[in-house]
Amino acid sequence: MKCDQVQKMLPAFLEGVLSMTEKAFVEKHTASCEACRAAFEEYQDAQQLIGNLEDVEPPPGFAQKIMARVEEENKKSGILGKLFYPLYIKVPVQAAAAVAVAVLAIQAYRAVEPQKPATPQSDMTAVLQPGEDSGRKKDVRGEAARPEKKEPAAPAQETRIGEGAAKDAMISLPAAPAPPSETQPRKEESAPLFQTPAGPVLAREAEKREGAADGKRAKMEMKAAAPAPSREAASLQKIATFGFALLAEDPARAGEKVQSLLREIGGSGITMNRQGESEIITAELNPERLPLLLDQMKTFGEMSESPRSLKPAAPLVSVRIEIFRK
Amino acid sequence: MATLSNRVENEICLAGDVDREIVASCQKGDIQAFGVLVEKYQKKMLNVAYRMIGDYQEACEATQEAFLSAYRAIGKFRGDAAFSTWMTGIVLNQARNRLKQMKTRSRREGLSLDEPVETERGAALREAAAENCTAPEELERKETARMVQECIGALDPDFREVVVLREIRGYSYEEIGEILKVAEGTVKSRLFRAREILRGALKKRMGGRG
Repeated sequence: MKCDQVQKMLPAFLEGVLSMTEKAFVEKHTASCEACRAAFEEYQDAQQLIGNLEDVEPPPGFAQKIMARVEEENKKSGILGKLFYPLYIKVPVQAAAAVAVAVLAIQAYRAVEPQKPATPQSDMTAVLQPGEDSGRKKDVRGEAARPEKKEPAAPAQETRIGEGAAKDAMISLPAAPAPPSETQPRKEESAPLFQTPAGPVLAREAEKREGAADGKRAKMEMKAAAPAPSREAASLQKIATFGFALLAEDPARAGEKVQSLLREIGGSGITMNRQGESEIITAELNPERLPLLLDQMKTFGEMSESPRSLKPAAPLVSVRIEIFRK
Repeated sequence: MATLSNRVENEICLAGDVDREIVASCQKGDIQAFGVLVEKYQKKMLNVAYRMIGDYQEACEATQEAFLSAYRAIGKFRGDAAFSTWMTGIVLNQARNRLKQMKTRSRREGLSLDEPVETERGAALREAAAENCTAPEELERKETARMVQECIGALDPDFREVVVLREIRGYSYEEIGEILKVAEGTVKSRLFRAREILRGALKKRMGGRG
């Protein structure tokens, strides 16, 4: 029991970390116990053997090899460090990239957008003008809206209407063929074509009243409400089209009066077409003259509702007046 | 004795101060200063790695990796401990990783008997032959060293570390505690247990040799 105790203390005894009492106890015991003395010698031998182990020498050029790797590492981290470190450089680069992408996306969207919105306006007109009679063929706007059509548009009219394809698209008329004398819109076609906020409501109202005798009146209301310029149109500063409907006893005479009125108030590019019993007058006008035009037209017959806004941003507006027999 | 001990301590302190200055230069980006540290500590670190791993080539590679890691992390060295203590910790980490890799490799290639395997004994004989030293005493000395190294290598890594650091490199308990990040008491108990195991192993191996 005593030997076990002593032999466990021997490593500490060799290290010299025992207390004086413990040291004295071990010394006294090993002096008299041969086994413990032998164990002590074995510890001493083991320590000596380990302590005698010679150091191995590094291979030739070892330090140079290490430094070559260190220099390589230094070069690599130098380049990467300049690109990605410290972080305060990285973040603005990412932010700038995000802004650049956003700007490019907006630019791309703007470049593509003007080709799209031609349909609502023209389709709306299609409801009111489903037929393409002989008079319509002369309609310069209809021609301008279809650049692929082989018949050339009247150059003078085109110049007046506008320079760009976007402008043409805004004032265009439909190309869809329809029965020549048909003036009543088809239910299925009319309702979904209105893009202005008031459009669908009025279209539904028109449908309800379709069966009633005063179908023309419903169409006139739609016509009056529809041309309110959309936000897209305003943002692109295209020529806005205002459509009005007039119910007169004698559409031909009323048409003449409207034409002369338009001339008086500075209208340009005035055209008048007959479509069955109704007259269609188109012109371009300073938007400031629109209230005057409406006031005067009320004396020629019964006017439909006025558009809510008569103040477009553009310096010129396109006016389309349809005169129906009362 | 006390005078000698004081002188050694003073030398260590001076070396520590010099190292601190060199490390400060390294931290400012002076790569040549790091070269000075490599030159100074390459042998010491290689020997720690070699005693831990027991394979010269692997030890060389582990030492290289350790110096590279030290260079990468030199900015984080705050000088709480001596550079050599900090560096030894890195070498020990690399050595542990190497040992794991070697273990995995040997498990994978364990059955491949076609490959010529260089044993410690073979390496010792080759080394002796290379040095043109054919004296039987020298061969005997190398053989003993090989057996001692084998006994150290047979220890658990925890015990091996304290033996290498204490018996071979002569670090204090405190320094070993710093390097291994364990308490001084743990260092002592590991060391005493390691000595006990080593005594038994060496007695067994050397017993027949008288």
